[in-house]
Amino acid sequence: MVRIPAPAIALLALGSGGLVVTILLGITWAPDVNPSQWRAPAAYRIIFLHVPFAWTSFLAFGMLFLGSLRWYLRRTEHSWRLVQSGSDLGLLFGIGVITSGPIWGMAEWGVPWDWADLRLNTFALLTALALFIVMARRSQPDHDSTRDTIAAVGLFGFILVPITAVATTLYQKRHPGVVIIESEESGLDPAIRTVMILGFVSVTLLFIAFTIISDKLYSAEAEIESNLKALDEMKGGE
Amino acid sequence: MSYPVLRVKGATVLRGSRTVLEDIDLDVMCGEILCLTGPNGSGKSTLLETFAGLHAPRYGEVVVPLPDQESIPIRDSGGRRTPVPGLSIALQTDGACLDETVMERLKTASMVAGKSLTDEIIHAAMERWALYHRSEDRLAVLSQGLRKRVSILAAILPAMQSSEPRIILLDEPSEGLDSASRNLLHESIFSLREKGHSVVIATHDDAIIEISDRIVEISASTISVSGPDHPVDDIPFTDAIPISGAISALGRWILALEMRNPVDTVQRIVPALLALFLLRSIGLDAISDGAPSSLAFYILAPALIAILVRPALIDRLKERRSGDWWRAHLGRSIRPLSSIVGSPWILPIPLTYLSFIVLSNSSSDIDPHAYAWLWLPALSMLDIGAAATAIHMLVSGFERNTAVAASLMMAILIWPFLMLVDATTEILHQGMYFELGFDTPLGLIICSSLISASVWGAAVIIPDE
Repeated sequence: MVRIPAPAIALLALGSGGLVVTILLGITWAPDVNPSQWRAPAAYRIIFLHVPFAWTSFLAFGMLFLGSLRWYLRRTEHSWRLVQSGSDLGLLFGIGVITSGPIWGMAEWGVPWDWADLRLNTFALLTALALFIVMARRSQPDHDSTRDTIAAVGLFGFILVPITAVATTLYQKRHPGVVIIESEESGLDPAIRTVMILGFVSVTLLFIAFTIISDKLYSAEAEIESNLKALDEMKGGE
Repeated sequence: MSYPVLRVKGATVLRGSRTVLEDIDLDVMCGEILCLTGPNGSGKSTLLETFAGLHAPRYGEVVVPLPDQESIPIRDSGGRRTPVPGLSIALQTDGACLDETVMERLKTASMVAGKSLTDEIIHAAMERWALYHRSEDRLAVLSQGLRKRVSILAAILPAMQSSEPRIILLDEPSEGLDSASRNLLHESIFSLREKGHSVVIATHDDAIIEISDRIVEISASTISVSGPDHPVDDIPFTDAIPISGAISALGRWILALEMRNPVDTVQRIVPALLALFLLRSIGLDAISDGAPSSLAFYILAPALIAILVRPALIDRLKERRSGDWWRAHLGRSIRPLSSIVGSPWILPIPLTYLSFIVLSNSSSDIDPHAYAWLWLPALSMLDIGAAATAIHMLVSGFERNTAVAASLMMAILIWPFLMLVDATTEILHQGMYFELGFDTPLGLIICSSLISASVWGAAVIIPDE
């Protein structure tokens, strides 16, 4: 049986609890924003989840990129586990971003999606790539050649995003700007900032807990696979 | 003269998760017949194909030794890849698409080898191998034995006509041959050695083993070499054989196959036309939200549908390992080249104009000269097409390529497409103008092409083919 490390369980509990408190405070305690500047002032509260999810997505995609690069350079099992965990967590938090974004967009803009919104589209693309990698990992035989192609897709995403980001930023001049934290210019309300920081910390703790658990599970999976292969050889030799 | 022409150094090769070859050191010497033997599944074909650069060693490398102690890296664990100069290979399966004719196969093999052989020479060789009466037949209609003869002849013919030493790799060449063809094969192998070429053969055939200079027995992932040890001479300087012939041969091969059996064109054009006539029958007014970009979007949509379809070239390269045959001769270049040549070059411009004719009569505020410039965004669609083909080829590299969703990676192509929609909107409603800027038709088209080119580059350059 796989034993999850106690620190991971503690982080998981703290992160989950913090997330629940963030949601409760975000709904009940955080003040309304200026209705004259927002079409749907109540909808802003989704940023307490949306922005921390975006932050942890970045961490996960960074892990995916690092793992892909290291796999190419060193071909170690640890690098591959980074690709596995990075793509899983990138998909999880990426879905959080691209579902919470359109909910807010629908309320604020009247449309769920804006093709000119750099942040939304970049995350959609990265999440699509993470989904591709997760599906490919689950469907393909686990060979070096498969890992090479998957690692290439991990690098592919990270190379493309900055290029596309630059092009889309320039292209965005033709479109209405999309600003999520509009109140930043005039300074965040202390209560909003407090809830936001709590959300950041909670989701980051969850991310760390998931990373540790994921690494542990994939290590165990590799060990089981190795034992099964040894068993195959023993059975074959009988 | 006896010197190494190809070297495997400390190579460990895995097939899937199985270690097939472990820490192998072996030289192929100039002008020798080197025989690879061993039981089924021992790794004969893997070693032969490793010489050709078809398998990346997990450790070690394959190199062509050079006189000044440097060497050309053919394939190593670090991802370096170069085609073997002067190589010809006959894979165990045909290594050819079955839509090729016998004559085409032999001509293609000659061109790839950098030899432009006359029809008379090829006819004479076919006559000798009892293939002349089948010269214009497609490989698909030939028996397995006849296809084997074509495959062997394609590998040995360029060397037969070459005075420069070449390397010929033959995988189970006598399998499926009748006794007359076997005798001819043995004579040809002998003759190749006489001409100074190196022949590496993976085989169980005792007659071939008997005429070999050295025999490599493969067992339990390791090798044992038997045969005389000749003194090794200095490696002479030779000119590198260019691969430009191979590149143009690939282009001709792709076009010839598509012209004979236009599967690619048909499977692209049918959904595009269906989409176009569906749009027409629904009525543009019914589906348009009145935005100026709507018409441009619908005009370009059929071309987009056509270029996103999985290219038939991928299946042609998968058939009977013809892609591996090309990879052995072209190395890393195969993916970028085929993703460009295999793109739908002809379709976007006529489809865009057809859509314009079919859909534009419902809109009255179109610039009267717009039609004269629609080719420009349509031309840029070709870049998106090349990027889409490259993504399809990347995905096809998976062992179970039907189990992954290429469309998830295609998502990025929506951005260059939307830029072209904006460029087309400008052209349709403002007319074409030549200012450069991020909101002018020219600027948008250039941006779109750059993004497509970046996607294409990332898809063809990074993966370790």
